[in-house]
Order: sequence, then structure tokens, then C-alpha cells
Amino acid sequence: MTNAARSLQVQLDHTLATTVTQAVIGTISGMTGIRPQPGNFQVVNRVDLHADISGIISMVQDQTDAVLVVSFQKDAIFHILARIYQQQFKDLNHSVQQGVGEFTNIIYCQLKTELNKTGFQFRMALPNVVIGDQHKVTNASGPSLVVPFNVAGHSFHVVLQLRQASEQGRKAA
Amino acid sequence: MIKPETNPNPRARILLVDDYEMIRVFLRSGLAELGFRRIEEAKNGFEAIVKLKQAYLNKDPYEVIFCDWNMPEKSGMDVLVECRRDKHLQTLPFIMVTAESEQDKVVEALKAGATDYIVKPIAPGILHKKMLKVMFKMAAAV
Repeated sequence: MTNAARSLQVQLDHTLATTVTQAVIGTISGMTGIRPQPGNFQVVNRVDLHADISGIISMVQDQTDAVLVVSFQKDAIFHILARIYQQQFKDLNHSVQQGVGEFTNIIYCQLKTELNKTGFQFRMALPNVVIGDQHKVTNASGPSLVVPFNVAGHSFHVVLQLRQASEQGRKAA
Repeated sequence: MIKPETNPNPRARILLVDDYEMIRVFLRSGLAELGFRRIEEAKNGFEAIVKLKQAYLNKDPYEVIFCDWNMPEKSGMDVLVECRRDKHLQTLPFIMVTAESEQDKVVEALKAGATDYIVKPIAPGILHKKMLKVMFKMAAAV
């Protein structure tokens, strides 16, 4: 861990929102030709979203941890995956769950690459997927960057939550 | 440009390895559009090695493998290293497919013996270009 990486903090600002937006659009349009429309980002202390399926990935390095959540209304992910599978989806089945996991993974890797260029040292990680009609997406504590997207009239969100790891906590672990 | 009707080797046997079905579907669709007809899949690194070795024993070896790097239990790098250690699979064109685009990762894969490297998200044009390169190499080797 370099001294530069130790002193860096993730700034939840326009620059980061732009990086997130580019990662999302690059991922989805690159693989499907569908270009999601981003909305205005927000930095909030309390996330309050509802979604049908969410991909979650922990972003770990020594000092600053973050969590990336990509949450879809089902019609949004159905629309995106239909372009790859050439079939219509009606349920949040295994194929859809895997699709959300892989999109979350690719978006994370693009975000990681850009952040690591500025001195961070985020590592490879594996995503999890949460399924449940209109489940609530929220944060336990700490500020979050929320970027909304729209694809063919259906929405999905990217939430980037930040947790500053303490020096003592790291040594104890 | 490879077109299905002018593909010089449509019966080349191709193995796609990724724990995510969506990527296998995407690659299969892209390769089928180029005219390839013998496209098979493995869901993990263990299955991939079994298929590769069995195909050789059956005298019907795979001619190209597209393999994801970030897979649980047996990674794409593990598969690559095992292939390069096997005298029957040493020269198999091996294309590493991954969301990792950082330079050190690319270098690591190429040093371990990957023939080429594709970064996700995979643009259709890139898949085409990579296959063209592999096919030229295969034709030159004949």
C-alpha cells in the first residue's frame, strides 16, 4: 500500500459520478447497443430505493472500503438482456440473475481501473445478487453517490457507498 | 472481414469457458455470425480441462479456446497454465476474456502464454478482429 493510496479518499462528486456513468454506459452499450440515459446524480446520507434485482460488489483496499450496488427494475434488465439472448424474459430466473451479476462485475472493473489510475488499489472481487420484488436498497451509514439511469422507459440505479476503514480496525483484523 | 459464406474454417471446434451464461451466449452468437458451427461451452475451469483433454484423446481437438479469467475455484489463469504445461495443448490458441483492463493484468496473461486478450464489455468488432488474427495463425501453421 503506497503512501499516496493511504491518503486518498473517495470523493463522492461530479467526477466520480461521471466515471460511474461512463462505466455503466460503456458496459451496457458495448454489449447490447442499448445506451442507458443517465439522470442527475445525488450524494445522500440515506439511500431509499426500491428494485427487483440488485448486484452488489465490495470494493476493498486497505484504507477505504466501498460497496457498489447496481439495482434494476425488472423491466429494465429484461430489456437489456433480451438484446443478448434474443428472447423475452418474464421472470427473474437464473439467466437474469447471472446477467445482473456479470454486468455488476464489468461495471465494477471499469470503475476500478479508472480509480486505480488515480492511486487507489481496489482489488478484484466477486458480485452477489439479491432478488425480491421491490426490495428496499438502503445504506447503514456513510454518504452514498446515487446515479439513476433509464433504458426504454425503465429505470435502474447505481449506488456507491463509502466506508472509511480505521487504521486500528485493519490492524485488529 | 470474415463472412459466414467465406469463412475458410467454419468447422473449427471452439470452446467457450465462462461461469456466466450471458457471456457464453454473447460469444456464441458473435462467433455463429462469423459462420462458426462447432461452438461448445464449459461453465468452469475444471470442465474446460476435461473437455480439452478428452477432445485430444478423441482425435478431434479444439482449435481455439475463449476463457474467462475471474472464475471461482479454477481461474482462467489456472486453465491457461495447465494448458501450456500439457504437451498436447501447448500450442492451442488461448484467448483470455476478462473485465480486467489494467496493463499489468494484460502483461501477466500474455507472459503466461495467452495468445490474445479480450476486455469485457466485448464489442462485436473486437471479437471479429481477434478471430481473424487466430485464423491467420492457424492457416500459417498448416
